[in-house]
Amino acid sequence: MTVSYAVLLVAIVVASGIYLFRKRFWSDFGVFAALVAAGAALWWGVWRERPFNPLLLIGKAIDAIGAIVR
Amino acid sequence: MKTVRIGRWQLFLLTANFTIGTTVFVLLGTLIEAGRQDAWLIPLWGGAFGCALAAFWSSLLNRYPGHNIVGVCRIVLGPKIGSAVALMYVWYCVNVASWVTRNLSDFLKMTIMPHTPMHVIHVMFLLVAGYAVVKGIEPIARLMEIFAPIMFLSFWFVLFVAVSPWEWHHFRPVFGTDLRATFLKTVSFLGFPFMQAMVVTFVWPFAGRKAMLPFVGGIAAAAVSLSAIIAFLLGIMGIYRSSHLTFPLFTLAQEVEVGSVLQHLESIMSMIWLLLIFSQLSVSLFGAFEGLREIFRLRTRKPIVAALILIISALAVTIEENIQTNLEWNQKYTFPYFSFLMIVVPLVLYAVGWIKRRTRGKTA
Repeated sequence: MTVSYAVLLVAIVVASGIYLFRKRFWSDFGVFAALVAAGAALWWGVWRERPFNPLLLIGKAIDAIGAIVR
Repeated sequence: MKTVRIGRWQLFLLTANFTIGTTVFVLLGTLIEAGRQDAWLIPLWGGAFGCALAAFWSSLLNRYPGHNIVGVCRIVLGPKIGSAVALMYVWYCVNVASWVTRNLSDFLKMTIMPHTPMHVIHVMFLLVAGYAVVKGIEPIARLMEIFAPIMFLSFWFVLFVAVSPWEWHHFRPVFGTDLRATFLKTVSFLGFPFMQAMVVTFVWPFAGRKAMLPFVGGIAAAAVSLSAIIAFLLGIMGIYRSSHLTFPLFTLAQEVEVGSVLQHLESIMSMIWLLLIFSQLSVSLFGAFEGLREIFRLRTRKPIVAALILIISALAVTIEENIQTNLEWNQKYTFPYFSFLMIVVPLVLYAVGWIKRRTRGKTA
């Protein structure tokens, strides 16, 4: 089931990329490519069992600012 | 091109449903544990804070008609700095959408679909929300308009049916807890859900000029509803049980039985929660898309929403290890994290905008 949903999601994303490329909406294509790259990197982390959690970074940043303020 | 408009009643429902959203299932146990017999007060002071903040955001947005917070950032701070700041709001919408999606899969895996992989739940639900976002805010608002009364009636019907084991002594001694300590313990509750309601302001440009009242009213209605729900849980289940269950409201509905006629009312609760999550997820996804559209002047909708779904479906997996770590993070960091985006940045925007107007007025 996971594979079929992954294939569905990838198919939608690839079709969207082809659509933007053929329509020559370059600004949209740039944003789309950046988002897809970020999404793919996140999924790669999940696949390799080394998930990237941005909330941990936010937590560390808040702790650091808190330490400076104190 | 057709001008998209949503009514004041629709905005009220969107705000109320967005604010109640995941809170009604995820946070109730924690609040009851912190506030004990006086826990029903916490949503009331949280709601008062949320209403004050919503009035502040409204007054900021009313100074720039037709723009959401991203547009205001770009007008006040200029295209470069403004876009950089605005990207933080886009990230915030993506973050909220990931949280909501993960809360949904946690709930479904623990209650109804324990063998379904969480990725499948994420993608399945995100595709539905994404389709709604592609169609625009109008269908989402209409959906809420149709379903909100049904949700309201069926939700309170279940709670009133469950009311027979009610015990007043669960509330005693009234105001017996240290209210100041309780306030400090539940300060994160001001952030989630009340500061989170700022995501709804992405709908602002579609809601016309008098959007403040329904927006503030939606937050107030959500606060009163949450307070009443906590009071019901306390009265029926008591402090100990309701604070030790992961989803007390779901368990309460599971236990309701009226002869052999009314059984398994938890299915109604699940449906209501799915609809609440749908409203929260679609509004945050809409906010993320609208933010990107405003910053990068995008012309298409479907491909960008598809890419956002790819990111959110992955983030929903990585954003927490389990519900407990999520609650701990929430307790520790939600208030400072949300305060920066919901209080500090809008205050800076307000001040810079005011100074700019004054200097422009003097030079003219």
